[in-house]
Amino acid sequence: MGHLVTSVAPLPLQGGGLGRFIDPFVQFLTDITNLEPVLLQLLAFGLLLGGVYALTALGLTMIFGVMDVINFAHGVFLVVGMYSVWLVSEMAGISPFLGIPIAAAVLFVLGVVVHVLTVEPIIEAPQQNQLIATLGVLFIIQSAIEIVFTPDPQQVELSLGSIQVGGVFIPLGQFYALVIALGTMLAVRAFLNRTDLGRKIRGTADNRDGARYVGINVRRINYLTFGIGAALAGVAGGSIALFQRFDPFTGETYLINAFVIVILGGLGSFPGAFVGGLIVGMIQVFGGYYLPGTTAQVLIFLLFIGTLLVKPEGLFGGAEA
Amino acid sequence: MLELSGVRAGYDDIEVLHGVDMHVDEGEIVALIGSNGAGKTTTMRTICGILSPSRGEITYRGEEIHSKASHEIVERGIVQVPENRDLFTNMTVIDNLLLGAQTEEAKADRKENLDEMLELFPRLAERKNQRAGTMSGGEQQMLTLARALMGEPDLLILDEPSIGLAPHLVQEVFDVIEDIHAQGMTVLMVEQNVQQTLKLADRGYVMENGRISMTADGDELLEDEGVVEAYLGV
Ligand SMILES: Nc1ncnc2c1ncn2[C@@H]1O[C@H](COP(=O)(O)OP(=O)(O)O)[C@@H](O)[C@H]1O
Ligand SMILES: [Mg+2]
Repeated sequence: MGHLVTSVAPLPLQGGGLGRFIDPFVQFLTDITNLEPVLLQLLAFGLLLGGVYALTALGLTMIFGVMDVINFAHGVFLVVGMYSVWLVSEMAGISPFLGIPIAAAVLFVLGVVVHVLTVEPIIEAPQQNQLIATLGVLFIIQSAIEIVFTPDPQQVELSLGSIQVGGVFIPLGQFYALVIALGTMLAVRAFLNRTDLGRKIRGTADNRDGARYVGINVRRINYLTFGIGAALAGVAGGSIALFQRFDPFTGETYLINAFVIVILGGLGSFPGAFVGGLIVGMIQVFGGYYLPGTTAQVLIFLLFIGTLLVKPEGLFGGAEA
Repeated sequence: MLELSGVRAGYDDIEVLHGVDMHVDEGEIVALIGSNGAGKTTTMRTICGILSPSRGEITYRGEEIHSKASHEIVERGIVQVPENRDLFTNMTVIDNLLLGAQTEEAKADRKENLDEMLELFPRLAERKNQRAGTMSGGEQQMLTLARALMGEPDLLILDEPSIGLAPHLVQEVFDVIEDIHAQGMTVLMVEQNVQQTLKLADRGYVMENGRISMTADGDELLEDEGVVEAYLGV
């Protein structure tokens, strides 16, 4: 993800010692007081990345919200989304944009199958069982992709170029990914709030026994939610493929950040996933520019641990799905 | 209509019900009373498929239902007001009511039934866009009852519907039960308000330690010395 900030020349590394960590903050404050144009550029990159991050977290938080399952396979679902879009555009010659709904459909089916085969049989077991089962799915699918497509990075051939808005440089691939992410999030929100099925999903997330008492087929809600969560990973992965190279293991970094976002925003919370995505995106972009090496990622983990210690329920904890 | 025979059920390895026999006939109000921990709630949960019996049989209108999932039991017309309410606390009153209508018939009548419920429980109408979890205990109990009625049950199961309510609300709950029964609904209820319940009920069962220890008409139970001593606090 360092690729994002390479378009703005990173600050030269200052000397060694603590100064390496203090100087960037001094620099940051100076830039703010001087209203340096680079800030606007970084803000734009942060928004572009954060929006997509939010989408990577959405399916994860939804599955957790409804069935308390921590789905490690989510990372590789993202990767299947990337490869689906790539396959569709490279092999079938269809536009990668059309590949995204195809990726969603593929992932929906895969999600339902994974759920029925691995999660459902142990849905009443302790949480760590499901966690380990989904981790197993992650490794199996990841290896399968590696065997079939080699571990080499792939790329969707798409030269979208970029535009300049008021001196701010916006790569169009990322811009479209952000638009898709925001559109998808709004659509999911409308689906959950306005449709009967959406209401049933919210009800099951709210109170499983309550759902049983009113006669909701909770088993069906479970696999549909798993399918929808996976489909969202398909859209997220497919959008990422519009602007980034990927390999079978790309999902791991995204999965980790998605976990941070979900914890930060509050497990099961949609607004939380959105705000969490933006925060993590901003830290990554600003940190990548001002801080040496991978310090930004360290900052993200510190934030993660800090949230768990200080406000384990997250920013929007307890909010409805 | 509903028949339990030799039902054994419990939690994990602990058996709570050691062979329960009881039945409810069409159009009746049947009361189940018994001290705390006797197994009344476990019985109600087992009827509705939240728990499944390890032994014994439950039939509804002649059809075996003990191996059915909870939503299949609701489809057949049995709906419960559970003891701990199990409302959708983060959702609005309206959402809770709409979620009560899951069967095809109930969905078809959803609009009219919703209006009817808001008329029957004016306090719910005032709070229709409020989150259920933010309402008072009494209002939540009314909502649980209304949510169950949205399912258009043929057999309504009530597990301590008046628990923790102020006396005037207890009366309101009993009035509603009497009303819906008068409209032809069959009712099976667990209650701590033994006197009031047995007056209303056609028949009653007394449960002790996971077994039915006595059964008789409501009036007879009200006059039974053992029942009076144990449950009416005389
Ligand atoms: N979820 C549970 N897990 C284990 N034991 C339970 C659970 N719920 C109830 N019990 C036990 O089952 C017995 C019967 O409880 P219950 O059916 O709730 O009684 P009642 O409704 O008559 O007060 C009690 O001994 C209680 O401790
Ligand atoms: Mg009880």
